[in-house]
Amino acid sequence: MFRIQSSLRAMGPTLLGSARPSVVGCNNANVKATANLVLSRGKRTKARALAPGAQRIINMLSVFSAHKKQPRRIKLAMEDLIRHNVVQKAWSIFMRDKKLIRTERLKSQYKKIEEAAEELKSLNGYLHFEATKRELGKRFSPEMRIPTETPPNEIWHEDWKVTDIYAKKR
Amino acid sequence: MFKRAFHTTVPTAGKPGVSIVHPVHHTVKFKKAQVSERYRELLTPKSSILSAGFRPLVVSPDRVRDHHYNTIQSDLLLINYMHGAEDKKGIKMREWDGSSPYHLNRAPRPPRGRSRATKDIKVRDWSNVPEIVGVSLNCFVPEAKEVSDIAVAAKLQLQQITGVKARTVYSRSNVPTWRLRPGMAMGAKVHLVGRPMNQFLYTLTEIVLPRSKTFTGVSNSAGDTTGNITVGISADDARSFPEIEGNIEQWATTFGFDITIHTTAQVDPDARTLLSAYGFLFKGEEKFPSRM
Repeated sequence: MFRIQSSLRAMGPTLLGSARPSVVGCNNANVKATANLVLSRGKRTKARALAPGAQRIINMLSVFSAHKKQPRRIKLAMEDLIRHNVVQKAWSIFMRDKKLIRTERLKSQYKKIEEAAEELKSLNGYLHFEATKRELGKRFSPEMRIPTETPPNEIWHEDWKVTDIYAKKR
Repeated sequence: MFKRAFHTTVPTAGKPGVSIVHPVHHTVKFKKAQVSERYRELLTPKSSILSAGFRPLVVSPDRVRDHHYNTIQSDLLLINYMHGAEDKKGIKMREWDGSSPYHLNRAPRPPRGRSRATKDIKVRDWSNVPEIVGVSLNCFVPEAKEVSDIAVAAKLQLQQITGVKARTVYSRSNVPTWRLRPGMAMGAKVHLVGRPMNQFLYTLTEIVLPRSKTFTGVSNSAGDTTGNITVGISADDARSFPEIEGNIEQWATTFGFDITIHTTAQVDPDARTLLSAYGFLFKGEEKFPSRM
């Protein structure tokens, strides 16, 4: 597109100067077609239309462009700004407290696991060994699902068995 | 150790770019033009609502994050528990003994039989329960070498799927026989954190992978030994992302890409256990490093 425009610009005086412009020295087919057009100010000529492939690329690039996508900066009055800051601070404190509770819960769980293992060790060495054995390659059940806000009517297929699949296939 | 340096000013015609305003030198080098009043708005942090780049962070519930904190975290703590565990030191680079004066500045040797050092393994307790911290998608399109527009389509695909602006990746090497030059656009990549990451993860495990006809599971040998697992998505599977499938007629070609899941797990087997809770299935024989 740029090449066409620049070549048109270069030919500008020629186009204006004579009624039938020459296209000598320009091998571009598109420019040849536009040379016969009657130029009128403000009117779109066909030369501006792009090849469909090029137009598709431009459409793609316009998706990435931040032009008109970035919202304007919010203009707040002083009162609104103070209100926002208070809410923001309260929210961050709330989130921090939640994180603290979560960490404390994990910590107490860890301590309890440790205590239980110690107690088992003092009671029975064999049971302790079996209970604290590393489970290498442990996997969560593949049937486990991330809970949704709209769960299905049947939450868990109680009677489902792995062997059922193979039975069907046979 | 820091060096004192002159701050830089743009040299104007006929004048050197040296400041005569006190203080003339600084411990931190900076561009004087950026201290100008015109750029004061840019100093506002993006977390502030006064910044033009402000985006509210928590605007909707996140079921994946909730699932992690409500269910997975405490289970993983129990699974990874080792009674009486102690910190394990990784295999480190071998220092020279100093018997020769030439040892002074000589680079240390890699560990015996290895090319690089390994990290220390800390005791797995409540403070380091593994979690997913980020997901990065990398789409490399070899055909973009011939037609550079293909890299644009690949970038758009990643952006469409994730909702996060992707970055173009450029070739860095010069291979004349392949007609490859540095600076050619070869694909795109994007790094996801937070809600976009969780959204991508559940789209992947609940919609895309179950519908795939070729995917049989994440390889148990995938991983970079420090808890980051990589899985590849084929070009056909990329079509089953709802964002692509929604207007599939617009997508004449789709591109396969690599998904790297970054976790805080210290070794790969721990990361696999974590990922299995998110619905990833694994295949193949699993190897366990001796240091875990």
